[in-house]
Amino acid sequence: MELNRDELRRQVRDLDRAQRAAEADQHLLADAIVEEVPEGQRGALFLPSLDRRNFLRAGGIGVAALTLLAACREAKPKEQLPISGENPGYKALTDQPVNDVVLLRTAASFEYSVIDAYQRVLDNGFITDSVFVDLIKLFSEHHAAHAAAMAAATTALGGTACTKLNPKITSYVIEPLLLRIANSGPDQAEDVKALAFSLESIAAATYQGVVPVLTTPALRAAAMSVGSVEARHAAVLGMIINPTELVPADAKAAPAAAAATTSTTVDAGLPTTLPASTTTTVTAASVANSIYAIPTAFGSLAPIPLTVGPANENGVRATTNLETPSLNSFLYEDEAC
Amino acid sequence: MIQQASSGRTSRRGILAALGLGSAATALITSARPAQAQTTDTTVAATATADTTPSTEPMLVTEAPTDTSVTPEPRLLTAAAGTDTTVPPKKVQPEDLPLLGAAKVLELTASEAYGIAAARIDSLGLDEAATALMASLAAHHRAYAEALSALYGPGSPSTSNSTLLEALGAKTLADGSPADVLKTLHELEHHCSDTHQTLLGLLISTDAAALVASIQVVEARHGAVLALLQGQAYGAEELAIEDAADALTLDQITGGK
Repeated sequence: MELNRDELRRQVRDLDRAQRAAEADQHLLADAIVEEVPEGQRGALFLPSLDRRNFLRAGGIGVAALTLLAACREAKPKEQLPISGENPGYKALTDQPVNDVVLLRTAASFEYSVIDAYQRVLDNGFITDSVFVDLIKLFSEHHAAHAAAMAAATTALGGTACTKLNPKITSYVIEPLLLRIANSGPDQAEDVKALAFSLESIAAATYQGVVPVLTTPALRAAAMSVGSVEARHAAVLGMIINPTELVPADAKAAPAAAAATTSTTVDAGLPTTLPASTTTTVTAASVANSIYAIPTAFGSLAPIPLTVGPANENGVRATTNLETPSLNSFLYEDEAC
Repeated sequence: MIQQASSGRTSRRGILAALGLGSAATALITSARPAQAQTTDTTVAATATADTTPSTEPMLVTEAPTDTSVTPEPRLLTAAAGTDTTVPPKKVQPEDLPLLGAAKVLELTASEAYGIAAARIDSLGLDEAATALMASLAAHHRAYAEALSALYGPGSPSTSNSTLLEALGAKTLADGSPADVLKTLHELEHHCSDTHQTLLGLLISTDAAALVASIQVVEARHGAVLALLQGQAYGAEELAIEDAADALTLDQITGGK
């Protein structure tokens, strides 16, 4: 903040005047109070360590400090910067409770989003491996059954069943991933496999994650009757993608695994002193995304990092964290679906 | 490699029946619960009570043994009908303890089963990945038992059930062919996964349910991987929605203790 010197002087003079006026007023007030108190009790009006002079001085300093602070305050509000175009507006999140119906609707919508993703993969010919194509067709049938089951449960609870995909998950997560995969080049098929593995894993985590939130044991069992099937899907995909490592190596083997990953730069022609990779059977998708049929001992609810798409000018491929649906992607009861 | 899914899974069932572990005329997991707790869970309790016919399928807890055509929708509908709006308890409830104890015994027994296979792992002729898998799965089951024990608190069961271990195929694990060992472990994983799913329909505490769910979702993966290791085509026996048909009863797990 810039202060004009003249303005500062004026403020100091004003401050001095205010101080003197305050001292005079307090003087008169104190005299009046003291005069009304009997002679023997006047000492009780003041603190033992604070005589009358110091008391009034302290009050005057306080007033002066407040005056200075008030003078330093900006009097006028800042002007609004000019903005071109229309105000995009702000829509606050709905204040809806997260109940069983919301969770079931969200689960159903997630199933439809996965079905839609698989269909786009097939329609665009991102992968031609017949085994994998048959597999995701079978998985799509399963997901359709899951969605129907969730819709039926939603209706039974008195809610409106969701029969369409989750627009937030599809538009903000899946579509950007598919766009990147479309430009993957030679890694496209592997990227599709990694996407499918991640979607199935996150679907399983979604059902596992709602277990402690659902209000009845019966609903929890129903959720996991679907979630366990999603987990099987992920395990099958994990085994296809990375058949040589079904479980992660233990902590002791981790440095070796890291060296193998880093050694891919050798193939790219970049100077390095690291030894070349010896795990030639591991596919790019499994290396980039740490894909294992059984990645953890307990079901994890952590985000799943997914690296797909073309590399940028620095040779780095973008990574997206897939997360289970949450407050910003739930399908609340007042939302159309 | 891929086959179309069918509703039948009879090849996995009946292992305990053949070994004569007794019938599942009554759903004993459900009967272990106090009456008040049973009324909370309308689906499983109602289904299990209705199933009073003696059966040769001792695995079943929630469904009629011979009925393989049960579709998932009615089950979910019934489950939904029992929903209330009260907040479920987070901490483990007294009614949950027998269920958590049974789950721990099952996991200890599973861990012991893997131990039998591990003792002769070199003779099984498995490749490096499958050998590493076996070690991991044994460790997983031990970790499950420990986690269940921690949730249970003091006084949880601390030993496996030898009768159950025999019924689950200890002899096969000890001297069977590699294919039979994988098949036995695959079935074991299905029993574990299905039993945990049934427990989820009975546990009241959300903490307990969350733990059991985190176990069940990985045991489902165990089963899928072991099936593929046997060379099974995925899809032939897989259901779109798991029916918990291979769940064990509380008496089968604990031996009535």
